[in-house]
Amino acid sequence: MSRENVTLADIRRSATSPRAKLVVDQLLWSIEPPPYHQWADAVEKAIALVGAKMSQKRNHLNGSSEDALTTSLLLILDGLGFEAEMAVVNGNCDVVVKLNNYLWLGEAKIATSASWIWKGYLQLTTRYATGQIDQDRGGMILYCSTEPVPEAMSAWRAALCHELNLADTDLVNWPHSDKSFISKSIVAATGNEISVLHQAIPLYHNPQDALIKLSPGASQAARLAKSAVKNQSSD
Amino acid sequence: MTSFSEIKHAVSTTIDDDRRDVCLQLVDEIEKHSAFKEKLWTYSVFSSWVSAPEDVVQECVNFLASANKARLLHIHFLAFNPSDPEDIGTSIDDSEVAAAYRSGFLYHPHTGLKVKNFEEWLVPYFALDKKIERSVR
Repeated sequence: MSRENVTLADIRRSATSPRAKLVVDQLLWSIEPPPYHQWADAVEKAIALVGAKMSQKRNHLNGSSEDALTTSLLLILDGLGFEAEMAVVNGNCDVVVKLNNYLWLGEAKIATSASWIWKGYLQLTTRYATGQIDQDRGGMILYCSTEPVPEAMSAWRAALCHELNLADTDLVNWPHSDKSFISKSIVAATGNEISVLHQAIPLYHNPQDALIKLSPGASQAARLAKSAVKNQSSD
Repeated sequence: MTSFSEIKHAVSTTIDDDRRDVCLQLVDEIEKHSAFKEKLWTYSVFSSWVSAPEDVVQECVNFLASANKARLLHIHFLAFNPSDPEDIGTSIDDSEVAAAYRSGFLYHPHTGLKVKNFEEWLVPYFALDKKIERSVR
């Protein structure tokens, strides 16, 4: 081996995509585990990446059950190197991501209504969350398959503010995704605050190509434009 | 994961993009080469085994050395002396690299000099993960 071999700095430089950067982080964590907040940031960035990836397959995923969607999500998280599974943490928690004693817990719901998401939110914050140090972050993973993300998320955001007696400005926009926000909650068992990421996954798929025909007015406009070009070229 | 077939299964089920074939080729090659006495490999060696862009090979190697369900490799490092262009590198204990990440600098194992931008002077190499190594023996 020689200095001409690839250095660790070269590896960092060549990892340009968010996915490749996450994998380099994971590699170095096998040498020295990161602080909890850094790891939890990476988990949440990974979930946003997974959401983007699932959205690219929404023609297949739309109509899938919550469990099937969560299985897909867990597999993609595995593919990014995380230890992620459905597991028992004070109950059957949908998404449990682990590194040593670190935990990130997630509850996944198809965003059919604010009341359905609220139920999941209470499961996460009052049933599963441990409220322990290095386990105080988690999230609601919201599969928006029945309506577009802006509608689903603004309805949920308003309902959450109402139920928690918060102003909309109390919710923090998360810088790594425009489809998410963060709320805080207290875990009764420990009195500790937990941070909850509400991450939308866009799965709404309503193609119009087979339903909407070109209007007569647009067809007429196309014909006129074509004949104008023909006339120009014959002149 | 304690066998090559289990690792291959984990790769097949968790990766569904361009990296899958490269990862599987790497697992096959590593299995072949694990029969040899010399079982330490650099990124350059891995790149010579498969025909794929270097960044894809690197990402696959990183994945196989870090993924929870497909851990096949373990990363180690050679440290190079920044003030000696002829240096051939010195093996450095993983714990010293871990300490460098905590403190922000590395003490070069031979010279004792403090190296600040230490990632520029560390060349990773890989060995079989211990669990797999035991199953190969």
